[in-house]
Amino acid sequence: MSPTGLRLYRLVLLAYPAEFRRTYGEPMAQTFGDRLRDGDVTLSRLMLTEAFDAARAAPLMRWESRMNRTIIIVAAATVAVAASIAAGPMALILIAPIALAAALWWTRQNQPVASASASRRWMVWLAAGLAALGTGIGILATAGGELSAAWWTVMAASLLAGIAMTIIGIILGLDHRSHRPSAPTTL
Amino acid sequence: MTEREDIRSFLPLPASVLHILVALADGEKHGYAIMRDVAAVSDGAVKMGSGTLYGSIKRMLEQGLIEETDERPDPGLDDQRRRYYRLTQLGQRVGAAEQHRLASLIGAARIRQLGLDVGGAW
Repeated sequence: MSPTGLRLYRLVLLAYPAEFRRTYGEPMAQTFGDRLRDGDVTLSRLMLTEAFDAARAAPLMRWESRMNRTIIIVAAATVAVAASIAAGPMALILIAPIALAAALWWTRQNQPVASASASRRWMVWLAAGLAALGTGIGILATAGGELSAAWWTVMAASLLAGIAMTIIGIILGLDHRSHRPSAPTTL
Repeated sequence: MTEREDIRSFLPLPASVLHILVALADGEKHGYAIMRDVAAVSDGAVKMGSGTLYGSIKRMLEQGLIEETDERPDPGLDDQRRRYYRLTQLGQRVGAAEQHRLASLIGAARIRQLGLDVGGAW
């Protein structure tokens, strides 16, 4: 098979969801090559057929993939809310970031190639979390026990946001480490 | 849910799924072999694209109608990267149930002489 034909076909494959391409991209490319090698059909005709097939099949697959993602995010949010109702609002501080991290992790799994910004995302969350924690502790250390209601609110919000963002950063960081070095997907 | 009800929940099968079940009825095949078999059995009337084929294969694997196999008809001659598929017991039962359903439908069409008014020609 000509490299140009394969390159063109890999462009057609981009119409399919990334998770589908990861599993079936290579067998599909191989099938494309087999059909060309058999000589029953020309490259242009085969490309046209495959492009038409992708236009028909890929939108449904993308919709199914998006629905799966939505279901997972809604389920994570439901778990977080149910836990906060059962164990009190403070449980939300621990469970909501875990649920959010799971949703972010799921989104990352569905990216065809992990982008540089995605791989650095955990650092941003961790840095923001530590900064918020530092702000809260700083306010507490500076004012001692003499905090006005407004400063107390700022301090509490900083600490809570700091805990939540740090948990997200740690979870995404652990996930990033476990997937390194991931072979880049060529499709 | 009884096994019979479980099998009936798959029916009627989408055309692409039925074609793949028929293609795999005489043994395991890889994607391109399935594609060629579908075209041959349908006398060229059905030409499945790769997206339709592998989209159906994905769903059939999830439903347990087919499974991947490591067995190769001739390991020496074949590309090791190829994925082979074969029917599961559930796939065979669902295929048989669909065959029975279609046979009943065709029988009813014959009894009611569908199409005979126009000479049975198409």
